Amino acid sequence: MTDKSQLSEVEHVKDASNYLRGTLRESVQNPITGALYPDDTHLIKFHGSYQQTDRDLESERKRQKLEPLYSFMIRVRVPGGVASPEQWQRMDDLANEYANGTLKLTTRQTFQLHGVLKRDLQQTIQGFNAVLMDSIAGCGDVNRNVMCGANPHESQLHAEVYEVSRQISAHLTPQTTAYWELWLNGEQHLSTEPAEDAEPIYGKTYLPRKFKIALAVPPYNDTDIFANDIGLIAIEENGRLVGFNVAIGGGMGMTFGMPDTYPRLADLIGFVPTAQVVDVCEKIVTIQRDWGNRQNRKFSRLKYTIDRVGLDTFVAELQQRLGYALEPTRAYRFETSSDNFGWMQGPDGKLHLGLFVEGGRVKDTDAVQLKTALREVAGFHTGEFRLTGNQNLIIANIEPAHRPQIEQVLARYGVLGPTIERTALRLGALACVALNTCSLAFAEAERYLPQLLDRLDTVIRAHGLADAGIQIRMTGCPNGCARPYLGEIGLVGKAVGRYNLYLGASHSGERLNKLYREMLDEDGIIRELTPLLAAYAQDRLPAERFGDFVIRQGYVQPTTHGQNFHAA
Amino acid sequence: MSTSDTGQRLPIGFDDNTLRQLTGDFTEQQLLWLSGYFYGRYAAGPGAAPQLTPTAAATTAAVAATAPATKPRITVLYGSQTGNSKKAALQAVEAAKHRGFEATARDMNDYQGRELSKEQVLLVVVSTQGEGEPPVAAEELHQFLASSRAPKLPELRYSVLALGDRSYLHFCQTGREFDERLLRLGATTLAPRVECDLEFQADARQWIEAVLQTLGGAAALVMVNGTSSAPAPLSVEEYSRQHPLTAEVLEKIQLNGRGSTKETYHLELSLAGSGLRYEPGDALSVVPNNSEALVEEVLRATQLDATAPVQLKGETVPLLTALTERLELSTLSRDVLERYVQHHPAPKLRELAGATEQLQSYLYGRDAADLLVDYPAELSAQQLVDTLRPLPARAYSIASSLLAHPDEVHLTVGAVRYAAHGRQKQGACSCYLADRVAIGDSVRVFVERNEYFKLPQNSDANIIMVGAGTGVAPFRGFVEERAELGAGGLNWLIFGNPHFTTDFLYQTEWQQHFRRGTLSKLHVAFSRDQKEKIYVHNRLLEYARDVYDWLENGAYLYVCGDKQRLAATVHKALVSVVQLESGASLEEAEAYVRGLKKQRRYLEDVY
Repeated sequence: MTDKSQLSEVEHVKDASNYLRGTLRESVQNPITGALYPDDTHLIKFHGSYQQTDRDLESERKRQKLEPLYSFMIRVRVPGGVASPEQWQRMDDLANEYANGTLKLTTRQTFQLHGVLKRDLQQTIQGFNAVLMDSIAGCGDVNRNVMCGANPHESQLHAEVYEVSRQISAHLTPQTTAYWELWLNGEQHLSTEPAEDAEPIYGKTYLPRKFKIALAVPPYNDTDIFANDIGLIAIEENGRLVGFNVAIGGGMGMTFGMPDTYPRLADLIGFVPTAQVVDVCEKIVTIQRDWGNRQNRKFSRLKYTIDRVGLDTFVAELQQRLGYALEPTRAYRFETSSDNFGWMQGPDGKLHLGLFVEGGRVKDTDAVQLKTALREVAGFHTGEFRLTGNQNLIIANIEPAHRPQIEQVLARYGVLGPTIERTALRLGALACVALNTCSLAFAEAERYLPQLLDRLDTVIRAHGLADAGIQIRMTGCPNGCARPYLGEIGLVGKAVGRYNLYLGASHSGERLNKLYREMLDEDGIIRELTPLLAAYAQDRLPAERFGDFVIRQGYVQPTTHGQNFHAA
Repeated sequence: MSTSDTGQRLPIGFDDNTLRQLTGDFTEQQLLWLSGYFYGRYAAGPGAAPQLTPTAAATTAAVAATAPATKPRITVLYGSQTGNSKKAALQAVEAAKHRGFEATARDMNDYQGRELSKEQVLLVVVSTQGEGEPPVAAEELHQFLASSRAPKLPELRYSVLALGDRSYLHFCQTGREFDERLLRLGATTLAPRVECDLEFQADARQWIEAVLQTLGGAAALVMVNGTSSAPAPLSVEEYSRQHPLTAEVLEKIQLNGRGSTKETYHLELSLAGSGLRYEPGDALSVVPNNSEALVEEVLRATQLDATAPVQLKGETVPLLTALTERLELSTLSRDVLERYVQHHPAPKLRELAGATEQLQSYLYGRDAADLLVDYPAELSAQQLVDTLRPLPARAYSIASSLLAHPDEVHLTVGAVRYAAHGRQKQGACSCYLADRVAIGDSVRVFVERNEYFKLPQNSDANIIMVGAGTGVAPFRGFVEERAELGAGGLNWLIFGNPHFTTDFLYQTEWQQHFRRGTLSKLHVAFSRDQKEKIYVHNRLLEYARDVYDWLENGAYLYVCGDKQRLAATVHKALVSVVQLESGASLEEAEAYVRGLKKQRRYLEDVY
């Protein structure tokens, strides 16, 4: 057994927290600060929230003898990214009432509210609850929001896969009653004498680190399943779901200056029939629970556990815990990890509309009132809203009769027009939140990428690449929220205005990229990319993707495994 | 524009202008000394004058000879709120003693009404609060004098020095009432009542001199006892409105976070080399300049030449200087309006000046420019200057402790801005500091002692500090001082303002004090952060148990902030706290709270 004294600080906090309670109640009620007590900042994550500060105002407020402007990001769990119109409207309300007036659609198909003050946390969470949403396990060392491919072409198949994602999500949701007790005044927990809390799967110290599961329906890899601890590839026969190929050990994060940390893609370990998939997920989680590194959180993810013990050992343990062996991996093929935009029709005649949401930020600007438009659509739409893993939105299962109405609303608020003019580069771009609220960020991402794209678009258009669909992804730090190591162009912030440039990921999310240049400023990025784009325009093979082109031309070596990500 | 014809004709052939010319350079103290000197000459008879110059002794001997054989016993009775009345009373006692009188200062707070019949000479020094009420310390005696229990006082000789603020309608009301009541009881007026405005020192000195002279103690008598040839040693404030310290601004910080509706400045001023001292609880007066815009408005309304020379306290200055540096423009007070009526005989204005309620509502939110625009009058630059009142310095509760910040004084200043009567109005001094003073600039300041609003003598006593908005200022000084001294008493701060994120003044400092234990309790009331408004008095009620326990254990309770809103609500809340926790009746609870005030354990610094 592990020597307790060597456990990381967070492990002690979890251990002493009485199933995620800690002193959160006192923390939240303490009126003289907008912050929580330090230990509780770890625990609040399990409730779906991060304590953040407005970093733009940091030095100004310090001089003003005011503490940092603390606020909270709250992430609402949306399994498979599917939200009802009622839920959409509620999120819209809550964003206005308690947050900064915007909704962030995340790379894990969740909603994030930013700028919620401590005193409004409880009312905000109660607002979710009223429309049957919650933020439990939105963050923290547990299984996070379960992702499910959003492309709705195969309605029947999608429905079946989505159902599995919901089952996995429900099965791995923490059982503690702390969430209800703290935020919902004990609602949903009124059964007689409150029994001692228990976590049959997690135990009282939960997992060593966050845990991510994603499901995809080939040929679309819009959930980037290989970036997850568990990736599940739906396998169908005659249009019906039969089971999943299972991949394990993916993860994006790394730390600058620590070559022992690296992004890693999940390894395929076999096929599991639909009926056993929840069981397989549970057993993988429990092995990670028992074997994962709890001393150093930099090496706690499943990917490091697998590379430490070896994939074979891990799979053997899994099969022993399952009591049966996985079947051989079935054939599948991914084409892209990007989204489709515009009108689509499903086999049942229902319509779907893919909408680009720049940076995943649903807001109103002078030019485009996306937030107002969507709110209006939610007022009459009878289908659902699907958040994609690429920070975009599908208005799904639209009654054909509603199409003109939706087009009218979107046109009135300027939503549709600009989409047509956008380059495929911009439509496929991802950016994390970064400054000013993320405490980890070294550099800008969401706020800055659009400007950089304005310049890159000029280059792209000059070379006739407006429709080329090159994936560009930017993050403000190396932790990888926008999956930058799977970008055909990856930009990872190292300092304000400085980025490392990575190239050579596959367009379908099946190969990591590689460092090409370090510490570039904006001019440097343009200067480095311009000749590459020019060469790509001129020398690419038919249907050759940019990520493949730079490798064939030898600009970078292919990354064949996370462990050689840092190799030149 | 000529000023020579405006000189006042004085009795027996003197001309005010001539006298002013002769004495124009003299300081107040020199003038004061001269008044005694001439009295001495007069008293010594016509032949004595030539001998005076070489030896003062002859004069003083002569004066002494004219003094009555037995001098009356003088009691100087003061009713003080901020300590100014006490200060004037002590000066009177000092001056009287120097003239050989037996004189005692007595606080009305500790004075029994029936003692009055034993008094020979009673000098009353009393201020007026708010809407014409007496200070707490004077309440009982004030009532007693009007009651049927009050004794007849046919033997008593008395005089009243009334302190007040001319911008209030009921200026010096309490002093007037003391005067009337003593007169009604049969007492004899020794010298006419003197009513002082905010800057009371000069008037107070004159009153003291007048009273003592009537009693037969000539100023020159001083020299019999003293070795100095200095005039009557009324204690001298080193820095004053007339002689302010010029202090450099070391730091200026806007304390409110972005998006706040408030605009509060933290200012740090250098006292290096000045020798200026203060204690937490004292106020710092700042001498402002009027804004260029307002001066412009006044000049435009009057069509006067900015360079026209005007006489101001014996000095000739251009009108522009007088308007910018010397005269109050940004508030309008009754006395100004009354003087203005002389130049503007319109019945409407005359009527207004006579009608208290309409007058009050007219004055509210109006400045000198409004009056000049609303009722235009042909008046000379000198007449304008004589109509306006002197520009008073503005006092701010000091926000620092000298122990924590040697050679510095800190202020917390809320910028006052509002729109009224068609123009943007600004607080004269707050916006002077907010808009026209930068780091590195200098401002003119002097300390106003606040006699009573002080930390307990006993440093083990607990204190409860209730501050709203800039009212938190003195408490920063209190807590700093107690932290530096390692005081054993506990400190409890209750602070209120509109919003937590932007208006928690000195938040990080309070948090640090709280962590270190130099604040043992810290409660906040942010009125606009929730649907129902929550104020500091709500917190007093919420923590009634602790408030009452602390008070029962001898704690001091301090209130600082807005007079209208804060003082009354806190008072009411305290009465409720006492009722709630002790089971007392309303009357008993009110007596309890009044008792706290009398013991000076419930202290207010409200404005």
